[in-house]
Amino acid sequence: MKNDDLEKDELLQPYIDAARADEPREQEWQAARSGLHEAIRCEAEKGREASEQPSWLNSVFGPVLNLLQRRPRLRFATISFSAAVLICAVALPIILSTTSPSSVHAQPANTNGQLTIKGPNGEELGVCPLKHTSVEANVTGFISRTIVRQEFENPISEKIEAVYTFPLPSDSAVDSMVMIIGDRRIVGKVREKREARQIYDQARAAGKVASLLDQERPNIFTQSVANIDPGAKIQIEISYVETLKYEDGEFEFHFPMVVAPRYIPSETTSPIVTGRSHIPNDTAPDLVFHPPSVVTDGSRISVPVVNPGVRAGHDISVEVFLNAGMDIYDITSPLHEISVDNYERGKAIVSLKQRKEIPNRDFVLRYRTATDQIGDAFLTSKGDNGRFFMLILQPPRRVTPAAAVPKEMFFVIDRSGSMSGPPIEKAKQTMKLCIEKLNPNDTFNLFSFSGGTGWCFNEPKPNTQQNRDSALKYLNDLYGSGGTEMMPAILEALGHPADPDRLRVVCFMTDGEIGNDFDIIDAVKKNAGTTRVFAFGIGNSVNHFLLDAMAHEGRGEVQYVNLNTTATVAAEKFCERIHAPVLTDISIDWKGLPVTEIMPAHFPDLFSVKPLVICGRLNGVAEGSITLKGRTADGEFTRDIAIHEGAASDHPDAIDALWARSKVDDLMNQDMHALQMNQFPQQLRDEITTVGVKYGIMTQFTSFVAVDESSVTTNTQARQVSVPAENPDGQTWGKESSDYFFDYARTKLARSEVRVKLAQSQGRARSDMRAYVTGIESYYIDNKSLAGNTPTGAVHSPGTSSNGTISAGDVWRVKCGEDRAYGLQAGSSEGRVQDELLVYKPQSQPQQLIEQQQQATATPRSQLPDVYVGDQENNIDANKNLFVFPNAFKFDDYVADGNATGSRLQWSFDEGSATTGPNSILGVRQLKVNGDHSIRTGDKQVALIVTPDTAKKVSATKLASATAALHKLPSSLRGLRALLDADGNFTSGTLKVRGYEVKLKVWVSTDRNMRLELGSYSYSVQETSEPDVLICGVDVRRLIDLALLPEVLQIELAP
Amino acid sequence: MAGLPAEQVEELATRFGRIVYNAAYRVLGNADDAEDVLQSVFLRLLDGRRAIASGVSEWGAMLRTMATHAAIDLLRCRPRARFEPFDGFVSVPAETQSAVEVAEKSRMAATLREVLAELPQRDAQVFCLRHFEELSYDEIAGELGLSVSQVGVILHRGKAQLRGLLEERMSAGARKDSVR
Repeated sequence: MKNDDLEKDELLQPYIDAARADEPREQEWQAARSGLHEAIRCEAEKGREASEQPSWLNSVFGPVLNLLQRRPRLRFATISFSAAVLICAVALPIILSTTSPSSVHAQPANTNGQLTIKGPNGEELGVCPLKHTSVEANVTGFISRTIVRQEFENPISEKIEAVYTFPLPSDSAVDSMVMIIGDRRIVGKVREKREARQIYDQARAAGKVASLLDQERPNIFTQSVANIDPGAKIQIEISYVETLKYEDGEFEFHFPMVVAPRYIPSETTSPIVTGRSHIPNDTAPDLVFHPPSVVTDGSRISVPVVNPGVRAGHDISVEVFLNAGMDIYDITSPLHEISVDNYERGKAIVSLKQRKEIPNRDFVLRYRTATDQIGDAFLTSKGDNGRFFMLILQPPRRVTPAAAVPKEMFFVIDRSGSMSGPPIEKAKQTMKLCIEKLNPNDTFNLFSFSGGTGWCFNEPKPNTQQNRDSALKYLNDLYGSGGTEMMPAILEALGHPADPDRLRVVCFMTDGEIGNDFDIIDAVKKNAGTTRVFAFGIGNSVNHFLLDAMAHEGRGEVQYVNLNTTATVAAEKFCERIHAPVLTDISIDWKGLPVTEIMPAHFPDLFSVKPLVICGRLNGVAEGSITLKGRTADGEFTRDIAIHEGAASDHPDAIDALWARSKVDDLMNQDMHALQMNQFPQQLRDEITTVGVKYGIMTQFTSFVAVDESSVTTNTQARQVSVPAENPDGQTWGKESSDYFFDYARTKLARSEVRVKLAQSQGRARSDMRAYVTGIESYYIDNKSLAGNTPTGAVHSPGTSSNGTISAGDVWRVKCGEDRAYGLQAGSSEGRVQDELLVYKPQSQPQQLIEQQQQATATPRSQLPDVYVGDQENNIDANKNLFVFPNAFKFDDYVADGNATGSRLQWSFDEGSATTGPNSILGVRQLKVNGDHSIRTGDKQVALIVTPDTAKKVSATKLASATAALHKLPSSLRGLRALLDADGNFTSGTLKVRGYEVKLKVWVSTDRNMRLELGSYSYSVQETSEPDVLICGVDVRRLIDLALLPEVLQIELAP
Repeated sequence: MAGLPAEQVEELATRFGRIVYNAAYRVLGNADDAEDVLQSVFLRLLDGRRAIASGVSEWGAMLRTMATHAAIDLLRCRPRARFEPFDGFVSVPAETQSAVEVAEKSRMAATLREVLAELPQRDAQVFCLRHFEELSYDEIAGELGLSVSQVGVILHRGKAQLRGLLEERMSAGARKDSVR
């Protein structure tokens, strides 16, 4: 290609010349040169030292050394650079709010993918204070004791307080915390939570080394370690017991590694979601975005998460000692590579192959033992608090009934931002399989939620092929984006009028990453009635506490589907379970056995072949027999079980702790809503505290505290440093946030003015929320101007778009023309999408507004015109804009203009259009194609040429065959399935748009050569090095989502 | 893969240090930032965790590419309405340019950097390599793993966007003037 672009550009060239002429002064260069050589020498020295160290030391402390030894660089770095880095650091999506004036966070540095602690002025202080977590579990039979060791080290030159929020299994009883400083072990004591905090605060203020372990949720804990001197190392040892999961002959040990970002919902869902009307009032804003108020401790469960590509700096190792008493086999771990040492019969050591694994997903270990038939077990223990027992009862085999009970199945799918990418695809896959397995006389409906909710059908539909097809189409259309307003979804799904002839089963598919877990569990408990609630936990770091409890309160069952396992097994298990529970209405006749305070207080129904674990107090000698009673598909079931006290537990201290934990659960369950609102009844609180202190376990109201009384550190205030979390594995939100950024619907609006107010910025409502409007006639902000874009009172010409940052308290008024949309969203192009809310309220026409809102509420996203074709009547006019395909692939990379030699694609930019300009948040650009038709496209959007060829309607058969062809492709290529031929090769396709024909030819080959043909023009890209710009990117899925919208597009495979 | 030996990096720093520094300076217009980029580029060569392609024939082009990349990263992180430090010394021959001209050129360079920061990273980098470093299409394509035609497309698009942004700034300035 000829390099013809150096010809003088009248406008640009003087600027280029000016910048080129801007040369550094000689003395500046000399200073830089000597600094450079010093830095190289220093770095090389470090490299030599590192190579002499053991490799593990190098890799653990390498980053520390790396940073600390880059002295010259730091020394020569100046304030301006620090300021720049500080700005970068601000892009970290979630920042713990603290009141400490000297608190800092470990945050990503500029470009080198290394996480550093920054001071208030942005200066780099050091790296993450948590170095390593080691997990050591001892499993004997059904019980495991796990010791978690967290190694903290202060990497900076001043005293710090490290704060680390981390997960533990939701049903574990945490009964020990020890702080280890050098060779001193300070055993933590359980105290009432506020008292423990007070002891800790006092010790901290006195300069003593202290640690505090708080429970935020049954599966989220916060470890605080105060007064760590520079260079000092402190180890925290936490120990807990739990019972293993056992189902269908398989044991499962589970250890969560990361607290995924939780969505903190607002008190009221946004008006568009609920369709609530507002009182028209001249002074009141039309919409107020409420801060989170249901979740009173949002900040305590919101962990700062590192940006993609940056490591948090701490790692984890896991070792599990299995003692099964019989041969162990089929040891697997779906999410990690493991090594197994079967050193003795019936014993094995399982460890992570990577000794320094990234803690970004759950560790799941499954194994079988020599028998599939585990017998009943009765274990006892004796301690200071008396005698306790644990009874493990095996259920009967599953009996399949001759005739299935007719069911009304509601499938509820979470399509929030955290589900975007692999999780939602896995959820869809699972749901599709479940739908296909429905019984003929069942009815069903699909329901999805994120910031809003939407049904697939107006009412439950019979299980016919046509309905299943519609449901699958609805599913295909879903993608993950926006908030996780689960409460409206729960209320909607459980509150739907019941079908008297059918058993309703509501099945939730979600990762459960929300902050109002207690409230949701409470809502399920209060609203389930006769409905059975089942849950699928989808993802690699799911909120087990929420999903377990939802299923428990809804008298159903939970199934976890991680992203590496097939959905088929999960779907089959689900169908088997809802088809026939294994045992219901369970009771036990104790026959005078001296037992009291049996936990759980109510036995759950068993939907799968897994044991029933019961704990209780033993007030005498346990000899005799008991009877297990229940109901199977065959009718009444009873079994006598002989009880002998012979078997003492191998974990003598475990049983009373597990009993106490069950007791606490029972007390907590009595008013979960109050618990969420921080209004838990004092009496229950006291009871829980008493149990926690007496049995020495963590609860929501008791904490572990340890103070080193032996010495006092230097009397300076410690900086607070929060340990950040890794990006949860499998979650794509944030990584490609710009691709998921715009979740908006275009709505036909009346000429109106709208006012938008961000009530306050808190929790996940962040300061970088952006408001956007298309089609503005004028706008102004009451309090201040929009992010430096346009001053108050500025008038934009009709048809323009704008956006800006609004802050708490701002009221933004926008006057819009017809056919416009406006919205509010949070997140930045570098950050993660936090929430998106749609706003539209023509103040002048409330009735119409309400209708529109109702319409929007009732209309699932799939039916909204993502592609706005033509005018309001959807007529195409050659002079009007034709397409916007948001979030599709980076079409611009393949667009050449007419002037570029070598391109065969003839485009010309219509720069004169009013839609051009940086103010357009949508990045929408209007192009003139071939001089005839306009197309709007953006940075990551695809444009298709529409030519007014002869319209040909597509038959239903052809559409179905095109749809079937789609399903043969992996989901990442779903967008192009329609363009596949029978052999799976990409071929040409023809899209029909309102009777107009769109020709599209695409080839994608594995060697990354591609060819794009648009209309009569074609363009080829060879050996593209960036897979993300290839057409086979996940973004392309929208293409087909759109193509399958019957109202907008019809698709036909080329002959 | 191990990084380069320190001796080789030293040698490269001696040979190409100034080029890298100038490349960064043109993008950033600031000695402190340019120095940081300078160090990060050469220290990266030492870093064993990064793969350095063996048999690099065009060290100059590669280092300039690394420098512009790091510089644009930094540029994009800077606060938008950044004050350009006025250090009081402008080394311009007095006989060729008036003070007004110098100030105007300085303003234009700053404006260009400001709008450059608004371009996607790769577009900005291609622009800098072509117009600041005067690399050929082939060299840019080779360094960035693009096809020559893609370089052309990106460059054209980048320039169009820069023109648009500059025009917008000019018209905004004009509006402000008319209000006064």
